[in-house]
Amino acid sequence: MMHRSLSFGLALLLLAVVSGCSHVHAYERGKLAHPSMAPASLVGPGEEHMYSVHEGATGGDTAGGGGCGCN
Amino acid sequence: MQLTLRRVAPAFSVVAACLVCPAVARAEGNLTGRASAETSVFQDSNATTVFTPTIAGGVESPTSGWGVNGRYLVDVVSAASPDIVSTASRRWMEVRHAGNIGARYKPGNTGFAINGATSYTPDYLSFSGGGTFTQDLDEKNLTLSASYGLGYDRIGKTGTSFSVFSRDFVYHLMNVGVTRIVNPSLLVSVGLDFQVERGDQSKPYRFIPLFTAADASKIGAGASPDQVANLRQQEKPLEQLPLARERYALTGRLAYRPGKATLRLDERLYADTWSMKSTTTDFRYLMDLGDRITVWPHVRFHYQSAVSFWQLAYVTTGNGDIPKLRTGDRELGQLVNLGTGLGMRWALGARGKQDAWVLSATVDGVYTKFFEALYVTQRLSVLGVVNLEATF
Repeated sequence: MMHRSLSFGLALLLLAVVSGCSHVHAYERGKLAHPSMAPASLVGPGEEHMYSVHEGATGGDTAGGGGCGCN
Repeated sequence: MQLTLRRVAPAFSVVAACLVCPAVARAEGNLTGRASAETSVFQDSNATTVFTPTIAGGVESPTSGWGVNGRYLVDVVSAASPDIVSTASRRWMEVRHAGNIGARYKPGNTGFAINGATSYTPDYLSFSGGGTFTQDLDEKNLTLSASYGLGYDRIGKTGTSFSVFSRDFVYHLMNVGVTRIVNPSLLVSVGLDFQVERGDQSKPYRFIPLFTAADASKIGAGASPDQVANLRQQEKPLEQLPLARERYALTGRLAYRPGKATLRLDERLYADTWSMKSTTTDFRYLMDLGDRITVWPHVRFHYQSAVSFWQLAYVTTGNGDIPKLRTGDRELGQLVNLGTGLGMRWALGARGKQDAWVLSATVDGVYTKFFEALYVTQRLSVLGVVNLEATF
């Protein structure tokens, strides 16, 4: 049941992500290259450690790249 | 002495790499090097203090697409929480050493990254490593990622060698994610984490008080150490957690920058086979105050339900019938965290190279409400972090 709920949630989110997207060219990515737009979490190691101790949950540092179109 | 050297040698290697890397980068000319030093201080209302100095460094080649990095930190922990007081123990202090290294290579649309980490305290040894694969599609408008990690922990007791007492704990981490550029101002990511844990992660210091059914009903949330001591049975077994756990997390991230400010919103939904369910929401609004200074407020909300075997007061008949699963870990109980904070990033470099030196600082406070726990019903925590980063 839990697996099904998560799969359904993921499918919904994926649908929301891919629908309504415009093709963004490299020269249009000035804002996306800003450090605050990094795809990875902005949570630093100290803060992350605090949350890992205070919260029973884990996971969430999703995404491995993309954004500004840099390597 | 030899053992001590063996323990700290990896840490020194990371430190040396951190210091050497920026110098190499500068010498090569076409590389970028980074070095940073960070200090954080944590204090909570349960008399726990953690002081953590960290150094980190890395080198990358933006044109070739490769990079290496390393980090080393020391946690100096001092605690005298009500749990410790309830066992008539004194305040204790512990030092943890932790380091990690990583390398990545992404010459075009396809990339790989590997990482390894270790941490050491006299009673806990941890190793982990993993790799991530990324693939850009649609002219880098869409990025897919998949990662796998393996961790091995050895849990021991202070003052007892691992060869005399230790428990092994192994975990596997898997993640798949997708990042999509929606428009020139909006980025969205979705990720699914799956973690498999095997082994006994019960704390060898955590004793669980047991009560008769009649006395258990007299124990309320936040019962004092004296109340518990007066009502509990003589038998006081150690904590015992299940030996297997599967954990699932679904995370969505949104980054939106319409002008000179960026809104970031993270949402994580979590569930596991111990019946814990949780929701975590993290919000930041980063505002540029000119070319050099960015400030942001931060709000975080976390709610979780208790694990299936959680009980405020575990019951025994006194005939040796101990509940098979038992815990006193408040972070496995029902709780809510409300966090808020402020951050600042100040680019200190010369004009045109502002980011050559960056000073950043954050202060975060978290209020925790424990709905059904012994000794403590709430906690206030504060974390302050100062970081200085240089880019060469």
